[in-house]
Amino acid sequence: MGEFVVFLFAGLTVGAINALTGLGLLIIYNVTGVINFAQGDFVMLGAMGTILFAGPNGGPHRLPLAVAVIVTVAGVAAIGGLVERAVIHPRRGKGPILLLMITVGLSLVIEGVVLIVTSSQTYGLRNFSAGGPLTVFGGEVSRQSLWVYGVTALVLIALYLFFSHTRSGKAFRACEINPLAARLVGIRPSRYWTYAFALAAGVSALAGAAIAPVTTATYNMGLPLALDGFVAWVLGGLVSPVGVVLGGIGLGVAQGMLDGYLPTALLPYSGAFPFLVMVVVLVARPGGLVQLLPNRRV
Amino acid sequence: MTRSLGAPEGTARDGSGRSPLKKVLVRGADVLRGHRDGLAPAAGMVVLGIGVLTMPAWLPATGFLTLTDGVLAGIYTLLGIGMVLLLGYTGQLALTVNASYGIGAYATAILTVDDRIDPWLAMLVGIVVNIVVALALAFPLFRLQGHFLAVATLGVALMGYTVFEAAPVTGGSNGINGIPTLSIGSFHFVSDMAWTYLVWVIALAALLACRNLVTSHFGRAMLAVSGSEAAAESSGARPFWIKTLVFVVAAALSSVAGSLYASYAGFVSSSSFDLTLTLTLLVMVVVGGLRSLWALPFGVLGILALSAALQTYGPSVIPATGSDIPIVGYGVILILFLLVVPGGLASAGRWCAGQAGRLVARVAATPATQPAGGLYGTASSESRP
Repeated sequence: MGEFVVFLFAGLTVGAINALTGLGLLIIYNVTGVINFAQGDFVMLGAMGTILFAGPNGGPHRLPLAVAVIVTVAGVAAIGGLVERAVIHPRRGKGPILLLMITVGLSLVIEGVVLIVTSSQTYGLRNFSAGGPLTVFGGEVSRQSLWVYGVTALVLIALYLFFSHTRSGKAFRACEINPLAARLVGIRPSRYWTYAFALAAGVSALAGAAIAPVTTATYNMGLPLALDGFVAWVLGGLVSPVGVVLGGIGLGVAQGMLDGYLPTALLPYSGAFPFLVMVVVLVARPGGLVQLLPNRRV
Repeated sequence: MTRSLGAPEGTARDGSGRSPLKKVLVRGADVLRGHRDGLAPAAGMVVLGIGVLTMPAWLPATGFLTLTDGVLAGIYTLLGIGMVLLLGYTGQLALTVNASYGIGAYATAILTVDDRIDPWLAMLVGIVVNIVVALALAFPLFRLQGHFLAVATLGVALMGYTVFEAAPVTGGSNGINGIPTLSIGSFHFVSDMAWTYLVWVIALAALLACRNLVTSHFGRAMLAVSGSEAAAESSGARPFWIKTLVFVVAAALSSVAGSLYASYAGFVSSSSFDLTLTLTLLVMVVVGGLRSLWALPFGVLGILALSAALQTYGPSVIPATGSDIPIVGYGVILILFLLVVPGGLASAGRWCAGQAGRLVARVAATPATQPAGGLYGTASSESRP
């Protein structure tokens, strides 16, 4: 039982980050139709930025953590909006493949800049709250994992409220559903491309800040995160936020169980599992796993 | 290149009654401006051939490139051809190149390491395995379109990498050592120079063959698929089979590249077949020009040179970045080319040649007795429609 709980919590932590990265991909895809290869690099920027402002492990503390996180999230959101203006906007309407390739370039540039700044070193961050792991149902869970769950839940609630209860959130959805009709009522879809990138970058940066104490941060941590985010996003059927969150968490938990219970001979292959799931779902059920649920009006 | 059909207006084609020098100039102007397509591939082949033949001289002279880069450039060119055919001509961003490259390399490595079978035969086995795998993958994958294909093939590529890393037979990151080199008769390919020529003979042959493919009926069908699958289908082309065939050709070429790499290096490990390879190739192909086979070697060499230069001189400018430093350049180059020169070096070269051709045409059309800008001058300096 204790073992199972440990695997479950480990899976949930990974799953929460998958969900947030996948949500970032979804926000951008729904508004712009662009698959953002650089999404994981926004997570990396969030982790690196928080470490930069709060002071790395082993060094002197700089800003209080809360301030560091807020400054970082705002900064990464600004970066997200700026890069959209700079490199995506000029090539709008030139086809999804070109835009995908531009985001590949973007990912390399972000990694390159961080590589120059950090000299490919690995940095750690202090835990958000001090104290040893807690014991739940006979298994241990670190306090930072609880922070990750909390941040994820908070982001989900905030995004839900934003998209369903605010004017600009509804304008976002109008751009997703019908850009032409949105223009008729005075919304500029092209401007929401920039907002979508900024919002997605901000959400991912927050995820990065939350996992930095668990995973530590290096300049090239983004790509694997983006890839798991892709899987979560595909599992969620590409357009459904609830689906993406369930897909991301489900994937994380399944991966945690596999890593825990797979026989040793098969263990090295467990890394292929998310991609196998992704390919099978894309090919066999492009609407995502959410289609299995009875009422998918999300 | 439909431009060559018919005689466009404003050409300085009619050079009759003028001096032989002017005739040559007029001809030259037309070739430069792309009005006589037949000569362009021949010229490309000659330039590439001379460039390859003289590689042992000019590669080390750069100070940061070696003949190893010459061999690698040939291997990357073979890999890039598949990407140009798939992405440039057929419009399909399929990212499985690292997997097919790996299958080819491991086929050679595993089958030849204890001199079990002849390396050439192993190369053939790799090709066959790759074709079977590519066919098996094409059926599910090519149901997907556009960037969904890219995401799914990325998944396949990463699964392939995981298998290379985890399967006991590949040796994972420890790799396989002591792979014998290739030989023809009693001649063994040992020196870098011999390898450069061998790899480039194969690469240029593949370039030539694929150029014939894309200028054929089938090639036009590929372009139609990249434009609109529905339109292509309504004109009688069968998009699925076209995409599948191009995918299989790309896999076979990658397989040859992988086998050559394994035999050349004598050692393979899983780290050669990760996503970095695919991304590097993407940059090379974009720099060369997505729809140009002839410009591909220039893109490959350009990026290899950039990478080598950054690794040689980078650490003195930006300290302590280690061997990962080329990615700094890759991203900037990729974005710059996609935004500023989406046609790559090929379109840049074509533009320069066109400008030069216009200049030559103007010179050729200026009668010696009249001042520049006379009757002929104004007529021939008109811009092409």
